[in-house]
Amino acid sequence: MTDQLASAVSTLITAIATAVLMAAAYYWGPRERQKRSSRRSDEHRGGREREAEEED
Amino acid sequence: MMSQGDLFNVRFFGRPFKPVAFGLCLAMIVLVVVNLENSGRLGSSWTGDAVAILAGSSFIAMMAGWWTRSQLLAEVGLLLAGVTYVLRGTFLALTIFPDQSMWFSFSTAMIAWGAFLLERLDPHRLDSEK
Repeated sequence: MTDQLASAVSTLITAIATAVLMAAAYYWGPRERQKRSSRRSDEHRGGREREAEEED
Repeated sequence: MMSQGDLFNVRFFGRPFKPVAFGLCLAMIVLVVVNLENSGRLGSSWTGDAVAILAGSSFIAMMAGWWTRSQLLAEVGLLLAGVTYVLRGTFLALTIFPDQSMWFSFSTAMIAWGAFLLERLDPHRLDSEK
């Protein structure tokens, strides 16, 4: 393969790989954080309800 | 600022220390010099020039991110380091396959993008940024 063609093809492949990685990072990251924070707040709420029941 | 890429309780000039990013900074300088001299595996192809520009940008982003304590710049630097090595590895795969430089490029790309994902997907990242 000539250098020119190899350069063009490798640029295209790199662009696709980068787009896939960024899509994964920017989609998956916030979703994971959201899941973790909702789990944390559920645990927090559960603890408070249990405390209230114990008080009753 | 503290993330999964930082060494716990280690400070360098009062800033968090990211060992992978520092190692990659050194690799980026090497890539810039070698590709500007056209003395590396990529020769005088324009991919070599692109690699030099990407490596230089990555180095600047990582150093600026470390100095200004910017998580975003550090992530951009790691992402660009991965892009640089994927471009280099793919070009080598298409021209002089099989070559050990190609395998080293792909493995370093995995290190860089792995470090990027560790930073980006850190569950406490937003807590420290806001």
